[in-house]
Amino acid sequence: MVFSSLSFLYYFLPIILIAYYVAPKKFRNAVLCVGSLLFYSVGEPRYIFVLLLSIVIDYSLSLVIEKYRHQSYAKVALLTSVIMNLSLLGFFKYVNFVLSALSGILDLSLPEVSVSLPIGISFFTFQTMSYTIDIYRGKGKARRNIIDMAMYVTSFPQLIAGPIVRYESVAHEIDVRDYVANVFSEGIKRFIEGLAKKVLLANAFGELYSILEQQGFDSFSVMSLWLMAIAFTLQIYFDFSGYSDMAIGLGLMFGFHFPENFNYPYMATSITDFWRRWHMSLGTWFRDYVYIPLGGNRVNKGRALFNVLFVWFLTGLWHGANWNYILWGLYFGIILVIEKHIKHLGKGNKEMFIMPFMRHFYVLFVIVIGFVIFKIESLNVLSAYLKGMFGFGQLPLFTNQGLYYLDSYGLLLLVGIVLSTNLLKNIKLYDNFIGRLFNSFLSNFLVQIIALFLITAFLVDASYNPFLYFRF
Amino acid sequence: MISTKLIVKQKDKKKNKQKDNPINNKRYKFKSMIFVLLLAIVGFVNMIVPDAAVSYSERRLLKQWTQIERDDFESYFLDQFLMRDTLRQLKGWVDYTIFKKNDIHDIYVSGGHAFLMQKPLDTVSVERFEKYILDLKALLPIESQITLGLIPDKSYYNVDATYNFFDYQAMINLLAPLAEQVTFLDLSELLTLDDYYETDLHWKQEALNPVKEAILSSFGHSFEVNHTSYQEQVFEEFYGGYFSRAPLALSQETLTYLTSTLTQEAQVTIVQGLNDKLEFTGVYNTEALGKMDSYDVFLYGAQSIVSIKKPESMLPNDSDATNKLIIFRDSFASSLAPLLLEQYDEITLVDLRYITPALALEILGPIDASVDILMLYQSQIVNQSLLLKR
Repeated sequence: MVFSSLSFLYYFLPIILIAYYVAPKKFRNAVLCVGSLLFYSVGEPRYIFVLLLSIVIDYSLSLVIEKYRHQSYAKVALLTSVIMNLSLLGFFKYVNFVLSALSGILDLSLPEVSVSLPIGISFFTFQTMSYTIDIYRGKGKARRNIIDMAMYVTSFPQLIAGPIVRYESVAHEIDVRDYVANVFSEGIKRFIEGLAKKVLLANAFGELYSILEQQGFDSFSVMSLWLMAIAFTLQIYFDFSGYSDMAIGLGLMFGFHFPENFNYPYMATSITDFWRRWHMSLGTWFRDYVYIPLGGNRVNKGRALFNVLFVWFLTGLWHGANWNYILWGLYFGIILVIEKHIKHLGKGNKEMFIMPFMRHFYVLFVIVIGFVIFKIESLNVLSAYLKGMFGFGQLPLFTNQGLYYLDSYGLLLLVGIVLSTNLLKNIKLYDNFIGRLFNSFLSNFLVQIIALFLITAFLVDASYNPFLYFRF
Repeated sequence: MISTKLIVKQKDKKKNKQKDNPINNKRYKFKSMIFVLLLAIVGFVNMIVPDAAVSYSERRLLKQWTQIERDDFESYFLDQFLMRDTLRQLKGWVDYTIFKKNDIHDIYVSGGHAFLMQKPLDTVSVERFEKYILDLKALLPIESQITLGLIPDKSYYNVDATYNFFDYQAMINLLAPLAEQVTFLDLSELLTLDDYYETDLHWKQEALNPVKEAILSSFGHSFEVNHTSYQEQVFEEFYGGYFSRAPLALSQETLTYLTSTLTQEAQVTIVQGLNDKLEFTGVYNTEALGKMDSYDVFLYGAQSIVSIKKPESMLPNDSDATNKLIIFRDSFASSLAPLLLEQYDEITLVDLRYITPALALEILGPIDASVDILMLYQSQIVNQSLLLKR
């Protein structure tokens, strides 16, 4: 089940909300836990045992960690938790990639293992590891009630595609949640905004990408390749940030305050800044649980360089079991190292480029190329695409078809570009007139109802509705 | 006195608290409840309203509750959602009017007609089609008179070149070598945009006289072609194939079919296998009108093999003197074939999208060299020749 589906919107969501608020407060964690397991089992009935196994093992180990804190047993328990979670992730997600890589290196024909990827495994394994690590570090008390712990892990708003909610950030809210009407209302607003981003925008950009891709390489032009790259760059932003908005909105409806995951990343002034704005929960997870324990940048230069590249290698690998994801991670890792180095050489200049326009152009250029690497899993095809984009693929500059689709989707692209920034909020006209119009309670409410109606119309018509991050 | 002052002070405190509290809890509670109730009511109403079996605007069967497999609830909910057609039209309107898209699901409207975006010419497909025709010809008697007719997609006639990525003339040029093997008829000069339905890809039966004459001439027959013996039957609620595909604000139109004693009494046989047949009287399946695809009125729609014969009383006494025609075809021939019944005693239509040439010829049996062979295909088939079975 996905959030942008009729079965979720008009069946699961109202039922779980009603059941949750009708239940006495002391049973609400159980209601949310059961509801979340049901949510997961509808989409992934076979692998719910993986999720339950992870919960049971980490629950047990967290009690050991707390009981034997400051002793070696605690460390062993922690290591067991990390190894178990990484093993689960490693097996289901990477076994065939590893076998394929070994086959290539050793010139063997190792058979593939017939295994599919449990939905959300990359998120919930990281979340449960965050639980045991935070217990070990004394940043929270281990849950005595397994239902509470299970609810934290399985909570459906963020189970499938994040944000990765660190235990210490919600530990208090697992026990005590304030149920305030304006917070619930804010949750509705956030949820509908996320749904609109996903259904009205992300899907449209995905459609554009697919249409152009289906033309075949023989019909490509330099322009159409760039159009595809930009379409995907917008699609992935609205898809993923939309999903995060929905998760945060749903969290608010249930009394949780989940961390923000996106902060207008396409307004970044450097790649360093970009990664402080994009998928922030993953970035901070790797920073706090991998980069800093490795020593961060408080080690010698060689080790510091290794730490950065290793973390970005892992970041790339986390996104997918394929060489292009590793390449993508290292691509950004190297650029980050270069930016940091140039900053030091900048003799006090904090920015790489003086003119804002040049800065943004550089950042967006790097991001778009990065997402081309992210999108195309075959390295041969990737090479052909990149060559084509820069005019080395013997492709025409543009074709009539490419111009047609640029014209057809032009307004949408413009809307997407503008809405991926906070430009509107900085325009006085918006603030003085439109802002007041849409910020009044009644108009705000009406806009949300109309948006819901429109989103439903798009859902009913569309069959093209996959979540990009569902491979995780 | 003191206690009264205390009470007043407490009351003031409460008032100030309410006044100072910017959060008007009641309004937010009301909004929250309305939101949840709205979702629940919509879901509930959708569950209790009886399922619709068919979407006539989309020309397909809708998923039923009893057909849900495992966790496939979503496709059921999508099919059975209330006001489905209205919602799809709203989406089409937003895409077209607000987002200024040029097409919806590859369907665009120009000059009152709906068109399908044509893929660019696929030269590999055309070459494959050429080979297919030659291979088919090789299975037929050497002396057979064979005509290959090419029907342009109606977008060929659209004066707005914005949407036109398909080079019909280039396709004609690629097929030119076939003219050495068969009689090649490019039908583009014989038709105009008005000869096609506005919301469908097909041509109108009442506009086919020039096509009919050209085909008959190509076989070298000097038939007397009589165009006045038909009566026009008009069906006024025709929604073409493009209407269902794109939720655009298109109107219904009329579908006309031409009847005569011949068409009403002709014997129709639908071959469903080596030994399985269905037989009807009359070439028009009027029960199809107003159902999923009204165009199925012509010869019962998509069938692998259909034969139509003049009534016994109209057949020549000498069976060797019967004029026979075999049409290897797509759906366009369904509306043309009834008009050729004047000149032919028996017409067999073979749709090679549903049956292989070998099996079709096995079912048809030996073909005499005197039988005229017409291969009639629309340009989209040629450009997607993998649709033809081998």
